[in-house]
Amino acid sequence: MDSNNMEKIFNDLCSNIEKKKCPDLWPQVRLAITPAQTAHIKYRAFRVTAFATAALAVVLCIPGVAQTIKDRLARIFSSQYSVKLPDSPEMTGNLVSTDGEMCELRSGGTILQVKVSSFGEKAVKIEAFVFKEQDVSGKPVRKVIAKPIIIGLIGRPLEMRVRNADSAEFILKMTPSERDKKDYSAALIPQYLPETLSRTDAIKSEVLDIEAMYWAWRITGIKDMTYSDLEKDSRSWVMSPEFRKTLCDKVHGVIASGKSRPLTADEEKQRTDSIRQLSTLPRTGK
Amino acid sequence: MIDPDIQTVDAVLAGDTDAFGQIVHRHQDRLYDLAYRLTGNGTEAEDIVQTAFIKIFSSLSDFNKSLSFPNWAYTITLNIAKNRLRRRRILTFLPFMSYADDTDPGAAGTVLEPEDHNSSPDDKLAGGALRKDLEEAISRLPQDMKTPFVLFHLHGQPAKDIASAMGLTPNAVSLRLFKARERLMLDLSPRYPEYFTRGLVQTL
Repeated sequence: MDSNNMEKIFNDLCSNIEKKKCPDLWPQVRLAITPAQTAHIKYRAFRVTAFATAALAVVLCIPGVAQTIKDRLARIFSSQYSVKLPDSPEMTGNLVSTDGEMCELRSGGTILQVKVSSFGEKAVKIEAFVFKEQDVSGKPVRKVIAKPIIIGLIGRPLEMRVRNADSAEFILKMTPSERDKKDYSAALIPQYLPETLSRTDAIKSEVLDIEAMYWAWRITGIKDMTYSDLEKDSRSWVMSPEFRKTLCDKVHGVIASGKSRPLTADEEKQRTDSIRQLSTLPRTGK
Repeated sequence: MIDPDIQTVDAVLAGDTDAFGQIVHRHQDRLYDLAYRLTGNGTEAEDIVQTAFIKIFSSLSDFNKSLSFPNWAYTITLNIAKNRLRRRRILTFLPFMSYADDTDPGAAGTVLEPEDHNSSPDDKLAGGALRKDLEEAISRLPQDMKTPFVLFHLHGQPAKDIASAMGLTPNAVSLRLFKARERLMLDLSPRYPEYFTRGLVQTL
């Protein structure tokens, strides 16, 4: 069969496949290209209860931050931010993220994801995704509340508001700036609340020997990582620099002594318990 | 006759930002369709097209008016989609029949069968099955063949414009199209010999 016949056959087969209809993007595009630095967005589905949490714990998750991505980075953004949720005090912090990296802030059942992406030399695109997390059949399910997008100039403050029909309002203020790639290793050290850091070190101290044995066995027994991997990866762990050095030295000591071994069942349990305790601590930025 | 896109571009560049809405409404469906078929995800596609329009707006002053505006828009959308796919490793290509989403409940199964006024009802049923299998076969195509195939056969873009949008030569696009069709025919001919076998025998 020649090329023309093949072309005709597939033209016939594909001719009646309709194009997917796109929801009207103009309102969102218009919002993004409007020169004003403030965006006011109303969403019916947004509910006061979503943000009305008595005990506020803001958690910043750090997906995929690792030294290994350093060489592939195009740009790094460091943004001073403040978040104001209804019935909660304003929280501030510094959001360090790579170009296009999604960071997550959590307040009770409400989750705010923020993504800062390049938008030319002097501007950034800030995308926010507001979710409400609910338990459905024992599993956490996220429902999208709003997805505002705004273009901001580097070094200029911007403000993003999401308001519902009941006038409950979520406000995100940011001043995006750019960091040098050389600063990235420093940025890997999360900036946590001082009390969080001290509690983290305290919990880890209780299982320091177990932790050291665990990592020593990973390096010498399982051999799925090296000591230098441990040193690099540990920069993004939640612990003080002093404690990090103590742990690494301890691991080095175990390896040097040749006494590394797999953890016993009891040690495994202690380590798991400590991780569970750590996961409950509040964090506020990186 | 002056190209309406060029007129709109001139209006936007003269300061009428709202005129950009005409461009959005004119092109959003085709760009969304392409992004959706490449990512297989409605939200992702919406995000890609929205980002593309913002990029188009910010680059309007660089647009060469002697070139095709739709093709320029395709190029920008494809670049954004490619970056997303690379970053998120979303390499799925959903069958066309599964495109329906929550906002468009009636879309499921609305893909029409090929017009063939001489065919019997049985033939039409066979045609519907063929198209479904074709969609699945397309989903198995390598990425570099899917894009030209979709742009050529579903969006009706000429090979020259596809070449420009993908940064290839027209010959390279023609070759990829040929390979895509050949692969699809080899894939489908065991089940639909009446459509393909004769041609394949001749080819082989």
